[in-house]
Amino acid sequence: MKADLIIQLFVTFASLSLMAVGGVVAIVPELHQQMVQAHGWMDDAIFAHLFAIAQVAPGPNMMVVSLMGYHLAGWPGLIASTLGFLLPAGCLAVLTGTVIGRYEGTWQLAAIKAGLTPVALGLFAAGGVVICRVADQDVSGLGLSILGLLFTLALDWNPLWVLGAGAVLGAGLF
Amino acid sequence: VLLSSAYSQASNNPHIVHALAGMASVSGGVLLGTGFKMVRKAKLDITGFVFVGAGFVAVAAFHVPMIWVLLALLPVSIGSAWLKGIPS
Repeated sequence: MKADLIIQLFVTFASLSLMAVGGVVAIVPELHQQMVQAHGWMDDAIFAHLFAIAQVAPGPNMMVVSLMGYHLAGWPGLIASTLGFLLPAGCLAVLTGTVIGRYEGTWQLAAIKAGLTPVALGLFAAGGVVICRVADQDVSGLGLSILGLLFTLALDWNPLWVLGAGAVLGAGLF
Repeated sequence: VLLSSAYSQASNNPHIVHALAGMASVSGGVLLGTGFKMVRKAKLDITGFVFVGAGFVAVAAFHVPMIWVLLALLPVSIGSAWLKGIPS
């Protein structure tokens, strides 16, 4: 029973990691689809909370993967999801890294990069929308998202400031 | 992990839950803003914007599974950049 869950976590995160063109944020829509809709492992609120924790905690963004694994199945879940997320993509990265080194500076490589960039950016922005949709249960949530959006566009400050403000406003207002 | 353990204990404290929900809402906006900024910095041409828009709309509005979006967009996007990049 439990071993099943661990294996499922590993497989799910391994396949997610190979789709992570554009980083962890870019796979948020797919992550949400898997965690909440396909497997029913958590609800929207918990998904949003874990994502928020990973955002404010020091360390890489991909920590959300470890957090979700831990939330679902404790330490074994954490290890399974983290390894699942790192191993396949890591091997791929090492592989492509070696190949890229050989073709550095060629127009073909530049073309591949130029082709990847817009897709990655579109998926990143879609990740932002999905977080908003999952997290904003009411008008006040929407207001906080707009605050975060405007803050980011207007100022070059560390997002922790506005995230902290969001925490205070969230706790104080509702 | 510490935070996560703290979370499982705190998840019945309404203040903390609301604070987390607030942060999650804000972070959605921050990510969108970061996305806009990156698009601006990337100095894309018209085709580039088409691919940004196509991926964004497919996933954000139509919930197309990511794998199909990647399989559909990447070859076309890389292909078009490839054709443009061929030195004459």
